[in-house]
Amino acid sequence: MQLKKMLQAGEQGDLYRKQSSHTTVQFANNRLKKINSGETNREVLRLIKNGRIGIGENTKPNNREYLSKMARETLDYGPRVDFAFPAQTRLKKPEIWDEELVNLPLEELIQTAQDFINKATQYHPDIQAEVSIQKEKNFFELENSAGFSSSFRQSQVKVLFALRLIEGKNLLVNYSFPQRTHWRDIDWENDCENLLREIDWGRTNVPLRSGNYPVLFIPETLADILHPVEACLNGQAVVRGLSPWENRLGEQVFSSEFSLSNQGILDRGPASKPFDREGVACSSFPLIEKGRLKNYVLDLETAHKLDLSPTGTGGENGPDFNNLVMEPGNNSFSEMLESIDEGLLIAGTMGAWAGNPYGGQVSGNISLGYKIKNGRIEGRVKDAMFSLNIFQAFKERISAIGSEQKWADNMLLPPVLINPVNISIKG
Amino acid sequence: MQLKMQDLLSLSKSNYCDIRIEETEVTFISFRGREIEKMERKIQFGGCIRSLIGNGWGFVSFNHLDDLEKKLRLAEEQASTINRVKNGSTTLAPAEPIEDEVFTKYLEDPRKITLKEKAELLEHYNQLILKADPRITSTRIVYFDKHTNWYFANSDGSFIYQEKTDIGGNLGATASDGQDRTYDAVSFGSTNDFGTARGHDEAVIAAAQRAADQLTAPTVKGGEYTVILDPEMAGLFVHEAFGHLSEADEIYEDKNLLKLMQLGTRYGPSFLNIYDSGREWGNRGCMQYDDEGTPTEKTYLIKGGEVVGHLHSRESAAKMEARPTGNARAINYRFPPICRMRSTCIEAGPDTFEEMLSGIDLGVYAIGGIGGETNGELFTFTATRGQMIRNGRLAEPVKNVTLTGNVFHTLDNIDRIGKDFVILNNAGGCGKFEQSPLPTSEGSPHIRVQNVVIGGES
Repeated sequence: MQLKKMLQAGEQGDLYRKQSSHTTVQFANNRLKKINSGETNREVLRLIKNGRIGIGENTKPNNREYLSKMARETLDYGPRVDFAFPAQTRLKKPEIWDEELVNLPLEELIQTAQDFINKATQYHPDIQAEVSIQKEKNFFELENSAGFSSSFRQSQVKVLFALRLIEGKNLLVNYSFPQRTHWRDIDWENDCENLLREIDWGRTNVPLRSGNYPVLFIPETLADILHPVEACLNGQAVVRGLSPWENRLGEQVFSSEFSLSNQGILDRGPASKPFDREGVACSSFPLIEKGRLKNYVLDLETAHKLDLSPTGTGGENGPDFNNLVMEPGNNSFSEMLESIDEGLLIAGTMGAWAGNPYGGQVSGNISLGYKIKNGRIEGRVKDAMFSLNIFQAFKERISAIGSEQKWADNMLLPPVLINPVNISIKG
Repeated sequence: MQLKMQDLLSLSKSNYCDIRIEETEVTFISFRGREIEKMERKIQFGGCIRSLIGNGWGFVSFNHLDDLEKKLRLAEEQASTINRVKNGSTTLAPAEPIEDEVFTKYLEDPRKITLKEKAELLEHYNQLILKADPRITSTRIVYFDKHTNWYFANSDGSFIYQEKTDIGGNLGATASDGQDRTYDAVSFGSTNDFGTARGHDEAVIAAAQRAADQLTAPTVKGGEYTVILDPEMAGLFVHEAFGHLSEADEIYEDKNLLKLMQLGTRYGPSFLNIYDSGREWGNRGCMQYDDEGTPTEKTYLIKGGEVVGHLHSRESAAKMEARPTGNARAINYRFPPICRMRSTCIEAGPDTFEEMLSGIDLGVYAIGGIGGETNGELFTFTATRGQMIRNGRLAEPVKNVTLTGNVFHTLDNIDRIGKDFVILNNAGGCGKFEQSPLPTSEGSPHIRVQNVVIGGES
């Protein structure tokens, strides 16, 4: 790269480039629908001068001069910053490149999706499946005026499975979207079976009265209710005084069963990488250890403002987690299910993100929920909403944590049983 | 550009082929709390080629315009691969070749306003919000303008240049009492007028005041209520809950969904009319041509409580023996067009707000929409704020008003429609699959719905 040539007197800067190419195979309504491919080459220039930062971004080839001009134009009015770009350090390189994936022929992507759909339609001929498989090659490069210059490549496979079954006015939708760096880390067989099992449970609707119940969250829905925890750990929220965990490092915030860490250099982690968007080395560190608040998630700016060290979690728009890992417990899933006399399993939520995350209140629609009676799934509960306060839930209401972790997006999570959770039902 | 694109098309072996090339220049400014948060300028440049062979579509996107023929061949190879798996023939609804150039008729061109003036205007709003009430703890101000040169050519012989502009902003206030946090905002948007960003002094002060006042409002008690939706909330409902179901690419291959959305199916009262229009000039989502070069129109979806239309691309229109409606849209060159909304509206009805209130013993007035989600059948929407309705009158304010329900039942439960129609241009955008945010707008009067579930601790 040629950052030096782009800087004028008195300017500090960093130049970030992401080059990507992808091929996507898409099945809609059980049929091969589209094959897409694309290439992008995006570069972002940040300039700092007289304590202000300006940003320019560009995807047009041979347009660096204009890129500098755009960044420079915003310098006069841009935000005030006080941080310095990091120098070169030793970097650990996690395993995030899969030669098999990048060389995988198109035919195999198509066949894999087709096998999945065959399995779903064998279960019920009216099932409409949507499957998309995207394989991606990414190349990241960063250079700054403090001497940092490094790059890495990453492969990714992003899958969407969605199954829809309509019987009368009863519409049942279930989906999952695994995302991994290695082709063989996608568990096609198991994912298909899980989705079909949940579809099967959902074909019978059963009534449930509003009230407080023990609720089993699977990793995918636990991820939904962890969003306020992520929001409170984010250094930007801490700096802005939004997070209730400001000035509380070292304090007990959750039950001692609850441990959560950021894992930046985990081999084959979907969000693992050697360095973050700003050139800080990625690492693994605890966020909440046995219920105690240990670290925030920081970028250069928030670390500087809080007088802490950056954590290798700088993103394009402020601090951003690498992989979020919650420590498993020692209960098998069936043990957890069997322990419930009357309760709910929540397999899908909708709208759980709305509201104020820093207050910890999460309420959402249960798009896919099942009544548990005497330790067994009885059927689907429709038109229900759940509501809980995560500060209370993770402090006093964890009944059990499962032993089997599963990836949901960039989070590796166990199932968790929370008791009680408020459920309101229409009617 | 025209020659380059048409030369390439002449090499195509596809049954149908189109090329789009776009160059978008973006200005983005945000404030958070006392400080400016981000100021950014961007160039988003690129193109794409779409090829249809037999039954298969191929699509290739790129930033570099070199080796275009190679890219065309790749798209064709993808299309042929699909066609080998499911041999057949996809037809597109016929379209006359169009040669046209469309320029934005600006009331005020955002490119003629300096960065300095934009930053100062936003800073002024930021200060007004911060000073409006001692309980205001933070602000969230976002502004963007985008100018796009859009070139389109297809193998039917069309070549269109279209200038597109999108301007939007959100002026938000956050209040806190140490325990709870509340939010309210003023939002604006336009496709031809920077003036949409001006003149919000009184409105931002009022929004900040509302956010602060909400702090002392109790959380609404969960349960089933008669609900009046204000135009913003009703707009959110019609967009999320019914608009998405009307997108024909979802309907034509799913016989069950087709049954639910069949022309002639009755939803809602006989005075319910819903349309989606690309011709409400100046409003977000409105433009002369969609991303397949089809002229836009005003498309009725429900007329007299009966499904009368869907939102079509050329492909879906051919499949459903309908006319293309100009709803094939893509967020940018990296994506192929899919069936999307433009400005989606519930038409005005006969009632005054007082008439809607009368007869409600216990109800909720849901005001403003923070956001919503739907999975086709179920929806969840969160209002910015709420007010209880008691004995036919507006009563105390309430917060955390989240509405949920079944789309079809909710449409059937609409029993009154106001006469106070407005179009709302919020700065947000619409998401479908991986394509988000797409500029859209919504219009509605107040509507009243029976038996809506409101979440919250019961």
